Amino acid sequence: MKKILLAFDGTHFSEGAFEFARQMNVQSPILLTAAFLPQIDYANVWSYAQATAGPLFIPLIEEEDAALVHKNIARFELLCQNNNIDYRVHKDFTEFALPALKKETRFADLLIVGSESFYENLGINEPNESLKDALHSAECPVLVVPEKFQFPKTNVLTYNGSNDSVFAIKQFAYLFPEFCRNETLLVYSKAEPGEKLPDEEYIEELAGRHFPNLAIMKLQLNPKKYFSSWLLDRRASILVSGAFSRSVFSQMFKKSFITDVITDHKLPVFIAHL
Amino acid sequence: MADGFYEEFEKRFKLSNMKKIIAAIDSLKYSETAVAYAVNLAKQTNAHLVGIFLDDFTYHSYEPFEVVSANENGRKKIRELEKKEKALRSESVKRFEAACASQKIKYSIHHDKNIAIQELLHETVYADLLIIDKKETLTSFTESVPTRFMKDLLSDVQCPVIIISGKYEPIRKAIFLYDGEPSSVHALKMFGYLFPFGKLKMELLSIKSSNHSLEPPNNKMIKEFMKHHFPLAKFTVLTGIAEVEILRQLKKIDPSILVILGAYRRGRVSRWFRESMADVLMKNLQSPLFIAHNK
Repeated sequence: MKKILLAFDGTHFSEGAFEFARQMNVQSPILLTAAFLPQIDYANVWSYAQATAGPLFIPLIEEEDAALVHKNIARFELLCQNNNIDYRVHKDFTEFALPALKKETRFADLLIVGSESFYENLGINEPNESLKDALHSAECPVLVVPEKFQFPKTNVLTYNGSNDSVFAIKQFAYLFPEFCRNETLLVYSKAEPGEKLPDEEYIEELAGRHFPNLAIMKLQLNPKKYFSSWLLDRRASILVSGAFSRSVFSQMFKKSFITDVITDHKLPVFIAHL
Repeated sequence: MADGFYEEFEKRFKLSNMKKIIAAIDSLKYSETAVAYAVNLAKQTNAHLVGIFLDDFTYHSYEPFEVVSANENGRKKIRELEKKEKALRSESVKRFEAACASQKIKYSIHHDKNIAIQELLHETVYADLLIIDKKETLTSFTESVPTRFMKDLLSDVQCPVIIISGKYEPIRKAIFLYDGEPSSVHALKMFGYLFPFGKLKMELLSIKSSNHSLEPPNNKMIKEFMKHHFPLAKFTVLTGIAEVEILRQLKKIDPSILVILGAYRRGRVSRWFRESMADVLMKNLQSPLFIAHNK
């Protein structure tokens, strides 16, 4: 049984993240753990800090915030009960958010993050700091979802020859065996034309076995429009990526057409790295 | 509640996540045990087995000495030795194919002719699991365990590894060595994803250094995780020095039990000063070791 982690930073409650978990539970039962972490919004801290040179001090959660957090916890518990989801709530306001999140992800199979800002900033700016930090330090794969999405019926695996991209594909297959039977597209995401695909036989051998319904698309041969139209015909997709370090992450999404696709279609994105 | 739970598990895990197992084979020193293990495991999990024949072009079955000592007949001698070597390599391929045919499993063969360690590490990127004999050296010398090849392999392997010492027994019980570190939990996660564990007995073993509390590190979290992945697992926490106690406990158990650990995540320099637990276990036990790390 999978243990899914939803991380709420203080006062935000992501409907999209909960909805995805709810639909996963319908497919096969999960344990849903909500971690309510202290707010890590540095903008708030800045307005309290007197001097830039001094150490940042994270203020204790304000009164009204504390009430809101409790409201969110109650809401979460009610939603889980109504939907027959096995759940736990972890509350820890004593540590800084990021180390606490890191430890939570160590003991989880998947972290789901609801982030509209991820989609707004993609390709234009880098994803916001706190999301990047979460993606970078998570010790389990992360699934980013928008507030409104369609539960995936097809998979799009992005591959660029790197260890990380294959690792992400393997982790996706292990975590979502129910999705493996869906129609799957393996996209070679190197943009340069005429570049030979690295280890074509190997990736075909591996992916072909995990995803019996597999098609392979080489982007330098098929122009972007084929990919867009492939997606349009199959609306509900999930994108799998191994983007790792901060620089590679933004590179991966800035350079390629995938950026447009994710922003236009608002696809859930599954990210795993070593 | 427990019964319904188990049924659900059995149902779900009949679709095993293990799809591609690779077995590393030194065709000049064919390991019967490793191949038997791989073939039987592929059968048990309905996976595809790839025999990776590490035909490293720099590695020969003969010593340069044999050639040199032949004096004028040097060239002739080389040709003879090479012929013998070729025969030995194709004999290994036949043995592998026969083993696969006897269990009626789906298999394929890769002949990797470049430098063995690099080829094998590359293969692990595209595999779910690697099976290898702990005595592999990929040289014509014998080395004591852990061999240099194994140490290099474990540092950089890109998929979980099962290191074989003795003969094959179906996996019925596993013991998980837990020390609270991320790679330890990672190894358990990987094991859970790859093995349909319906009837598998699982035990968690943790060693604490002081008498503080006889609870494993991050007690609540590991218990929560274990409850949902391995609901009937047993927990054993002892005090002492990890290397000593673990060895003592493992020596008492049946050598067919699979030992799961996260290992080799520290750097090379750190391992000069303190051996990896994996090294200690390879030296002293006949149990198969399941190792995964998330470096």
